[in-house]
Amino acid sequence: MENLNITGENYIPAVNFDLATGVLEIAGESYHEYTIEFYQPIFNWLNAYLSEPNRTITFNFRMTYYNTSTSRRFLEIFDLLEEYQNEKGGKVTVNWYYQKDDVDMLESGEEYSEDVDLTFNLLPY
Amino acid sequence: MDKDFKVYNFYKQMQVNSVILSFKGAVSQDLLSRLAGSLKKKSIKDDPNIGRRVFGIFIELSQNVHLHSAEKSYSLAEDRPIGVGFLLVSEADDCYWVSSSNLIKKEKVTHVNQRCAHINGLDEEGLKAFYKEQRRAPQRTDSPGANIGLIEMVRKSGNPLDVQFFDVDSENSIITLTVKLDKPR
Repeated sequence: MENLNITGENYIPAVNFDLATGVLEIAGESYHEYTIEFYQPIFNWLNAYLSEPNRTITFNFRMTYYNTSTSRRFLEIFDLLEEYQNEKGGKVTVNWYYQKDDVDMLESGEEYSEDVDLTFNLLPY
Repeated sequence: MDKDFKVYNFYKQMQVNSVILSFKGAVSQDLLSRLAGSLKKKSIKDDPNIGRRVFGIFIELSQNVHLHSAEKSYSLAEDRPIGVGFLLVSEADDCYWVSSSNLIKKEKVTHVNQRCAHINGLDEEGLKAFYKEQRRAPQRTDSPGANIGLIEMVRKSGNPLDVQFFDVDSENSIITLTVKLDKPR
């Protein structure tokens, strides 16, 4: 298994998943029209990574915009992480970064944190 | 083109109504990211939160056209048929108007109309609950969309959806969807 790196551009977010450190990061804008297709390699990587128990994971979201289609994919990622923590001894921390004047991005993070049982840090920058 | 159609009149009407962006055609991913990027630059100058919302609502409306318009055009770049429609953004002193127009099959009109009416009837808490419920609902098999775009637009704008339908022929209507975004006072 190798690190996952996707260069961000236009409607595609930058993805950097680091095996050695357990720091998984997604950043930028995500508004691909077919997010099921775009996120498939990301889910494939995550499923392989989470097959090994007891990992300590820091998942950083540094998004400036994502569409509603992406919003579903993020919820699926949180569900995977929650399940990993509950059933496979994983320790997961989610860092949700938002530009300090971006009230909508803060609210989006708050709403995800209500929907899943994960340690959620809402971090302005 | 009708012999009475005057490009100048069309242009003037857009000027008078402070149209800052209009596009008719196939709404591809690349085109959308260019249009949305330029719109963000223009609208973010007054208030970053309003600018981001104009940007987001424009993207949601455009992607509705891309996915759901009954008029399609084959895109070589994307290797699939993509929706054709009309996008319009105008700016008044106190608000922005973002709208989309496209063909819709007649059999879908009632469903879309009822969904808009339902969403327009919800208060803030109701919208949040409906958004979360629909985001948790299984992915529709007939569409890659999230089925929460209309709710999102009402939540972000704080205004109801203005949806209208116009007859075209026995099979198709035109749907226009307009979202008003108030500027901060």
